[in-house]
Amino acid sequence: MFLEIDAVFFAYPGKADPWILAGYSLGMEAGERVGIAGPSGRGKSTLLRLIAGLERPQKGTILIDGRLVAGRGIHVSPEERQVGMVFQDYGLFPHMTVERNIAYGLYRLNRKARRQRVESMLELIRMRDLARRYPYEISGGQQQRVAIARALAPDPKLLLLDEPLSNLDAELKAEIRAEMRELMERTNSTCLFVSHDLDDLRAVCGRIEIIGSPSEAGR
Amino acid sequence: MIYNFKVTPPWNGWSAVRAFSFFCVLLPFMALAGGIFSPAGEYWSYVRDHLLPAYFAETLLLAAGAGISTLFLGVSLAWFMSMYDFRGKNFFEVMLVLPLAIPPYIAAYAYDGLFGYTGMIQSFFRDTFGLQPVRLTANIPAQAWGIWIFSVTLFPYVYLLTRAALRNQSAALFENALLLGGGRIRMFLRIGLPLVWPAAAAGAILVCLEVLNDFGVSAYYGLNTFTTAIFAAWFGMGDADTAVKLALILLALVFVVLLVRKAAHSARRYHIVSSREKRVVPRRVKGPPQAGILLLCGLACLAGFVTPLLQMLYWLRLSWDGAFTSELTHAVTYTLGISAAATLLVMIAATGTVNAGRLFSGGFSVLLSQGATIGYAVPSAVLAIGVISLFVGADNFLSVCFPFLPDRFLSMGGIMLIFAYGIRFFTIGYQTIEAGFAKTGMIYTEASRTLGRSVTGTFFLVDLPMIRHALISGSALVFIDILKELPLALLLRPFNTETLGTTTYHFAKNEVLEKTALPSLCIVLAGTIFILLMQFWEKKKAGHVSGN
Repeated sequence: MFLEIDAVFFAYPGKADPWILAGYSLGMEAGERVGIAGPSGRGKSTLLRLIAGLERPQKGTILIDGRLVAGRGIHVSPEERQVGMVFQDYGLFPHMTVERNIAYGLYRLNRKARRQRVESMLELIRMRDLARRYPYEISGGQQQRVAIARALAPDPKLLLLDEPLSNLDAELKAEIRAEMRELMERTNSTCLFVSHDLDDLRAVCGRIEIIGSPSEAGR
Repeated sequence: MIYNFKVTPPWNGWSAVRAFSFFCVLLPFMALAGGIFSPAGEYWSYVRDHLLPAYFAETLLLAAGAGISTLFLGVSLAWFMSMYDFRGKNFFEVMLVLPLAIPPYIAAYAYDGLFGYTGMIQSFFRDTFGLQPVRLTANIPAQAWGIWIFSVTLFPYVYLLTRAALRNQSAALFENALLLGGGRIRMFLRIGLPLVWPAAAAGAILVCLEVLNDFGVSAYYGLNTFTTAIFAAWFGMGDADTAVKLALILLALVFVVLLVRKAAHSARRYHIVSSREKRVVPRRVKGPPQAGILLLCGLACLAGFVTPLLQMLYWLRLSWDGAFTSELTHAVTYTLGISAAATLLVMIAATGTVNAGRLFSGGFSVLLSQGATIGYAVPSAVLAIGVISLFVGADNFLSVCFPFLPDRFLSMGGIMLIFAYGIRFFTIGYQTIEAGFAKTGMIYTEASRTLGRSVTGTFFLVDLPMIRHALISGSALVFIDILKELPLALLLRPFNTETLGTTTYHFAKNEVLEKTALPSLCIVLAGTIFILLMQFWEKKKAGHVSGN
């Protein structure tokens, strides 16, 4: 297994419902694209935050590529996990241009290699012309593409997508879904995609898991 | 095979900065607490039996008087400025904040000069109409002058907080209130006032804390407050134990004020929801209502800013020859230098503490972060005594361990004053940085860390550029407050060194009021420039946001 989540428990402090995830388990192979569906508040985004290292599980373990990253008194910090994440609001740094956003995670490369990688990512998302623009100067769909390119640029072992299409209108969504699928196939990314919209997941993922009541998912 | 690699430590440099800030704030109070058990000085029994009731009565009268009057003035101004549109509104948006640039003690000198026997008002009536002088300054009780001075210079605290609360409300609340009948007065009393009450009360509490902290106004009018009593015991009687005991009583009084605030806050059964709904659109007024609003705004600006400023300019004209002395140049240089050093210290400590609070959650974390902000509530005279006790103790320790160090190495230099400024104004830096981080949230930090950057790398590349506005505003606010500060400088400055505040104070104490003009105007000018720049910046930012 490439990703192994074993009996993970997690609760936010001070919440009435004690466990947002209670004994949740999931396995994923390398190169697989798995979708996680479920209604709001059932821990979909929390699951991604736990895998990324932004939260610590109270119980259970998480292994990435055979390495224990969380559990048994261990917590590997997010910057050490080699996991890329695309946030629901994209989280593009507003004070950096598109190309500087993409280059942000490539600081370990030398200048030339970094330049080449940024060029290839801009090519991949077909946004070479907009490289010098700031995030507020491009559309929502373009921002979403930049966020994916930025997450993919450091070549992460695992890509986490947290409802990246939820802020787009219906027409744009259909277009972006197809683009995303093509991107994932071209980069052969191992990807965990969270959404409350089953159509998003069907378009991109080979397998779909449900968190919470299956009957509520995808409404 | 399972193997582990670099693991996040339970603490790091950021939490160390926060813990250091917390203990720096705590140490003077621990040194002060030792005074509870120290034997009472000779003067103490006299103070306790004869003077203590007067200290309580006068301090509480000033605090309550200023608190209530600023509530009336600040809330009404905020209501008119938020709910109505009138000619000259933009001008008053700027002017109503400017009284913050006038330290109350400078306003006190100006008013006394203006209404005194030789002042412009009495001279005008005497010389023009041959009227007998009305002894305004003598016939009006000093307490009333004190309340007046605090009210006209400190009302912007209530005004600004109330205005911000009103601007955050949804227009639907007020539109519904009007549709349900009762008119605008009922809408203000039944809807507006309850909604802004927490913000207005927070502003009034700030005013009360400023009054409890004051030394300059009380000393000038000869009022028997706790702060003047601490100075009298320390300097007049040379009785440090009595000063410490008075400081502890004043500290207890401050905690009562803070407990009242906390209790009032906890008693609220509703929460104001800051919504993204339509904001209140000010209603255009003309005729008598407009005249009434203009009169109130004009009088507030006149009393809090224009009058003291004009009086100072008048005095400057009188004292122009020989005003620029080497002592003044030294005071300016020293004040700017020490203010800059203390501001830098405050902003580094505050940024480190806030960032640690974002990175580490939990009850102990909150305690460390919030505990470090207590300094602003504690009156300067109390803080000064705590800091002196601490530094004298540290000097004694150093002289034993390192005999080669100069005598009184720590307590005779500017370090003690910078340290005290750091504790006193830490809260301002903390709150502005916290507000800056609250606007950006955690998403950019988290995005950066998932892209492989460390906490510190993320801070310098992402967090710092994102909070740069807060950092600059916070630095400006701290710098202005240090520039205006008087009691700490009076008690803790090195020998033969004056700040602009202490220079002004000594001229006033020696009744050479004209000479207070230049140092006072330096303080007022610096404060005014900073406030105007910040207002300009805020407007630009607001325009930029709405433009997006």
